[in-house]
Amino acid sequence: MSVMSRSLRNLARNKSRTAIVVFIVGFALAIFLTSSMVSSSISTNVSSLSESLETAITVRPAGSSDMGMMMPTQELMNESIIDDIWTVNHVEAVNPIISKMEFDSSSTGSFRSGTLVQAMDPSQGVFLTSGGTIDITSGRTLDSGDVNSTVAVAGEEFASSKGLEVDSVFSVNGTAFTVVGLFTTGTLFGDQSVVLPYEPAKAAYNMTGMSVVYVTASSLLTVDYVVEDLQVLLGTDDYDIVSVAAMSEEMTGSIQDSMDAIASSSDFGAMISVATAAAVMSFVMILVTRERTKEIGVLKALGFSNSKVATQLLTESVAFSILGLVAGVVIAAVFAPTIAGMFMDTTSATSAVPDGPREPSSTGTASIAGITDLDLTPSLVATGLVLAVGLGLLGSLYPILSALRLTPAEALRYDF
Amino acid sequence: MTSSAHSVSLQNVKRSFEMKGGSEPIRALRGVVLSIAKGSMVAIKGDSGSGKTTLLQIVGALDTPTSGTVLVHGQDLSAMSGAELTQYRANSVGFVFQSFNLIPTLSAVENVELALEARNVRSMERRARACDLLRLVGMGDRLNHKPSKLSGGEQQRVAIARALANDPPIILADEPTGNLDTKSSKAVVNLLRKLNRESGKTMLIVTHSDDVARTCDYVVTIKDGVAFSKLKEEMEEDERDRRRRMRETLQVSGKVVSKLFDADYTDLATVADADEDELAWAVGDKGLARSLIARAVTAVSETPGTERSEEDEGGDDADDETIEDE
Repeated sequence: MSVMSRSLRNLARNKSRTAIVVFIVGFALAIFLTSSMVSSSISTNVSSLSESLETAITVRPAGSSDMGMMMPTQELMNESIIDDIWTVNHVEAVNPIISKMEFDSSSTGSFRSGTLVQAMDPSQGVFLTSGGTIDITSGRTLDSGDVNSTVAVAGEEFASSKGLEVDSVFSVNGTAFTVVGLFTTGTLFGDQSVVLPYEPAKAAYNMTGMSVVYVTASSLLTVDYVVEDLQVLLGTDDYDIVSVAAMSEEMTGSIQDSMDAIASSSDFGAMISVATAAAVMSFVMILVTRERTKEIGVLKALGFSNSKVATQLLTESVAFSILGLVAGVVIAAVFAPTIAGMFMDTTSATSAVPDGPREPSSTGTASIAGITDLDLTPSLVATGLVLAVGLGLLGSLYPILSALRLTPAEALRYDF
Repeated sequence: MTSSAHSVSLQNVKRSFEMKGGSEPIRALRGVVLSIAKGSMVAIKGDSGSGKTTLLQIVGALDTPTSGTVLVHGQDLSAMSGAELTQYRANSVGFVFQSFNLIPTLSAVENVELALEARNVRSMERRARACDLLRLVGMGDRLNHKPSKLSGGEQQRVAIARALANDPPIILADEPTGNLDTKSSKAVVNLLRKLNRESGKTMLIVTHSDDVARTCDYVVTIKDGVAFSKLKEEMEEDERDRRRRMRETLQVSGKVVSKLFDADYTDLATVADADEDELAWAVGDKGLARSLIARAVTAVSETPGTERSEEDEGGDDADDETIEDE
């Protein structure tokens, strides 16, 4: 009969108590796991945001950025500057973009009021300058094979309002585009957007220029040099050339503050949950140890050393915690979003990301506001396991030491 | 000094318990001097709270004396470290408790194995020895039963098997029949006696029972924290004297003793220590019809003019013999 086997049997002595304790510890650990998932999600999004911001530079017609904060610019730039931009050192990518708001809901056109149409080179990725990570929910995204095709990916809200599905056809300024995929961004505005390949969109709108050019520097260290070179090359009278990071410092600061608030509230939740679990474990082990003090006396009378008795009780306590962890993992896997909503302040992040068109700097914030990507990773479960074992050891330390201090005779005389 | 013939020797052993709140300490043992021969079976008797269990626990190293020396097979327990005392408990003594103290979640065989686990005996060997011991105590058909599925007598037999697990030279039993009925008590006592005779183990048995005491070679009485030791024969003589005096007292008090001894209870219990004009009280083990006898005495004493029978007048010795024979 192994110590582990005996410990598990001891857990079954009082099944209802064990069930209650496992649930309480499990719930506390579920809060911890959820908090960690939220923190991890925030960290990932912050990292993603930083990456996207750090090397991005926008080139737009001078003055257009003033209204650009709320509305996509309607002024256009000549495409000839693309070749000029490529001549600047450390430029890694140049992505011309057409950004157009469609308000014509009464015409035979397919847009409803406030639909953002964006056109870009699909071979350089598909995104919204207004912010939001595009998650394809059905069909596929645009790729390099679609550069000259009249195809589109549509936001779910837009598709829903127009009754569009994958392979449906809709009209852009009289040109038919086929929907190859539907996406969601986590925000209502983002989901009302449509993304088209640059060339077919330009042809459909009969446009002669671009709304904005996204220039990507080779690294964070070269961003400022590229900005300076572009300003010299193109001139600052006709163009606003700024690094996205610098331009959106204030906004990213605000987002960062919001993320910090969420992280702080989730850390607080994690701390409280761990403290609760430790307190519960300690209380239960005090109870268990006191109930079985006489039994400890018997073990000592049989010749069990203090270390053997302690091992037995510690194993029992750790087994308790691990059962709690299993419960915690199940609870977290099923109810993490609910728990996140109950215990963590996510409203600050939501309020920091208002609805409506935004600068490209807000890319990625929508998913943070929604905290939808909560992943219970193996490493997180492993962290939970370490924590559970730690809780078991910590919680049982005092009661076990108290019990071991008794002589066998005192333990045998003990009445609970 | 402990001779080689002595298994246990206590020299002026004192044990007092400090009380909370500055009350006077309780002096459980006040200088016990006692030597117990190897292979003997000794009953330790005394009133409740007289220090019997404390004495047993000190011999078993479950407790330490406030002063004095405890020698077991020549080894001074007070000179041993904590680890050595743990080893001593594992190897040299086996305990049998009044309330059995079996682990409720373990089966009979697992409970016995537990004692072997303390000595790090390998799993296979543990199981084999535990089964052998349970068969030895007549529990071969109850190996996998949990304590809750065993009767009191069966549980105590498992506890005895557990005490024997490590083949200790000394068995310490604290009121082993205290929670058992008459039949189970007899079975347990007979088992202990058999083990004592066959294996030569020294046995110290704390008991209130005269029957258990009569089974032992010696009876040590603890009174006011001091031990008095007598041989079984001396105890029996004392008992005869006590009964004779009791009967004389009863006769003097005018109670018709014959009515009592005509009853079928006489081999079960004795009536003792009645002064004139006082009711006697019945003494004996649990289940020995003490209440019936007490009621009989009361009824007889309240019957005016009741005469004594011929048997009752037949002499103390004859009655004594009758009682003893029965």
